[in-house]
Amino acid sequence: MRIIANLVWKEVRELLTIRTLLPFIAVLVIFLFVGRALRGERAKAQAPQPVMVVVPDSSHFADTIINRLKEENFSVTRTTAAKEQAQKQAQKEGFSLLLVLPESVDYRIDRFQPVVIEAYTILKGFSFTQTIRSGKVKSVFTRINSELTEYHLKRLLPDIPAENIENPVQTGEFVILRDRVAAGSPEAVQGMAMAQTFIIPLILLMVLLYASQTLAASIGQEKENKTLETLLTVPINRVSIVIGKMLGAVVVAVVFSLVFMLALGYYTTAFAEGVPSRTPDMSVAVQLGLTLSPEAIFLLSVTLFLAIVTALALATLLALLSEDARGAQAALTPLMMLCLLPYFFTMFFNIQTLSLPLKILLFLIPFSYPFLIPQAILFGNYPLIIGGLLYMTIFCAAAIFIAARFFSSDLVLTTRLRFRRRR
Amino acid sequence: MEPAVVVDDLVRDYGVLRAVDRIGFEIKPGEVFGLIGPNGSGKTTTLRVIATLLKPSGGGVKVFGRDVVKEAAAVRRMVSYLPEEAGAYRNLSGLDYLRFMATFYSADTVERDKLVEQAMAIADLGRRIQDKVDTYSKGMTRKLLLARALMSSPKLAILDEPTSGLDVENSIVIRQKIKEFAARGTTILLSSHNMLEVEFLSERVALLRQGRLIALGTPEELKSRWSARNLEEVFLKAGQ
Repeated sequence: MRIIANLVWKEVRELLTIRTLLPFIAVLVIFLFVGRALRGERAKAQAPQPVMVVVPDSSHFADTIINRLKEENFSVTRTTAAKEQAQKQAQKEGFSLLLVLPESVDYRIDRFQPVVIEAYTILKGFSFTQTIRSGKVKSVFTRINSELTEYHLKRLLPDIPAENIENPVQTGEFVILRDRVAAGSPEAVQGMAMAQTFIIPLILLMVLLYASQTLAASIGQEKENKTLETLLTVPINRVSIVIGKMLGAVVVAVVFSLVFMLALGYYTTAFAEGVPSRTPDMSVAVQLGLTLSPEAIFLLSVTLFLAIVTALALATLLALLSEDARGAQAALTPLMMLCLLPYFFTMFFNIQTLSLPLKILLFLIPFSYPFLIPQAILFGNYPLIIGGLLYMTIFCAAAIFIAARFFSSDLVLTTRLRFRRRR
Repeated sequence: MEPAVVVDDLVRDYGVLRAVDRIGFEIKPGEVFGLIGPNGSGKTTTLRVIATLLKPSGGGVKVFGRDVVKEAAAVRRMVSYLPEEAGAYRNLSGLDYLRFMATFYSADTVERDKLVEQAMAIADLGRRIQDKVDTYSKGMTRKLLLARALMSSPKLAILDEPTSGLDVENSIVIRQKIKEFAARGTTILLSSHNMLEVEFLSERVALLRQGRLIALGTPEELKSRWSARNLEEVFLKAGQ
């Protein structure tokens, strides 16, 4: 244990340097900066926005519009000026929006004549704030239109609920999953399932790719600097060296991935804030049994663990076949492909509808199971869970065995030995 | 007395290429033994087999009676190997590197501290031992690595081209350190293509050419046998 701890400490010291941290710090700073800027823009957009409204004559409808604008946090200036004059005044006084109502609005509405309100957006640049403001104005008019429709329908058909005419066909959506039925839309259920079963494997994918690269770089550097030769002659079990390297790579990868995910989270929530929440009612998930039980979380953890260890064992093998750090990075390409393929397959295709050769290919790749097993757990697909875990365990054990045997033999030094350099 | 090293009819092949071809010699305990030969003569391969890094294709090697293949772990506890042109971990300080390596030789903290102190004395880098290895000159790195190789007071130190690429001043310092350690009883097996250096350091030498042993003896014996002024001349005459 002491030996492995010492090796892990060395790996972390070697791999966590300013040079390796710098790109991550740069990404972190960019995400934090952009996230902060977006939040600032949103705060500006939420502040009362000045709008000038041209109302040529006294109108009940104009009063309604102005009230709705005020409710949407617009600061309204009412004027009776002519359109051209109002345009100049609005620009001069820093308004961002000018609404021009036609004459006799109430008269037109009463006679079911269309009312065209001219909306002039005064552009001072293209920004995120401008998009939010335009959206708010549109929502005001949608609301007013809806209210007017309701008003007209009540006048024409006072005994019929307006809702029955506006939406004559209404849907009651239900989802069936195995033997359970719950009220809810399939999109919402899909969203919930994806959030539970896709995010964790996605984080794993990041850790896995980074850990493999870190490990390969470390082994490549050891070969390049001939520190590996020294390490292989010290009185320790060579398998300890492999384990120490793998654990060191995992520690570093987890640190980097956490930093990255935090920064990404800060950035993406800056977009999500203020957008109407689409979080579905969790009771649908509970009714359908779509929540992960402790047993399911345990199975998922085992899957993720097996995937990480398998990737690291394969990365070790590939790195040992190369001559130096650069070669080790290049040697990882097949592994990267194996990790990314299942991600794209499961993201864009339904496994059930894939052609047989593609399905077989997907099942042969051990890194498919972190994406397949969570869904299989939710759908109660036990043959896939048991078969997948069994396959992963066998693949993982074989990869570790081969890596350990390779590391314990003299192949570790001779595989890429150049005869012309031998003495 | 049991020999420190017995190389018996050693063969090492790389595919179809024979790097070491049935060589044999013995090294006495406490002896400084030199392997001489040009590039590609099989020196490094021989040292790697003795250091348990490579397995023989034929023949055998024993270190203090232990077989390098069957009892590799036991051999590793007795030997220390300094590869040619080896580096240290660049992001560690010299001191951290020595501490890291000392952990493999002792579980006891006090004993480990003693090993590190001994290594610091051998490396003789002063306050620079606290600096990152990345900032060291080639000579400083070589001193650090020699210190690492000798700090555990191994029964057999295998030094591959210990002064390769170093300037005269650093080479002299390294040679001096090797001599000091040999005087303390450590058996030393070194290789070099610098025959004058081997002549200066070694009590006995083996001359290799194209994987074969072409001469073996003390420098004086060899010079007398080949009527040569130095080992370079011996090598030229023996190879004809």
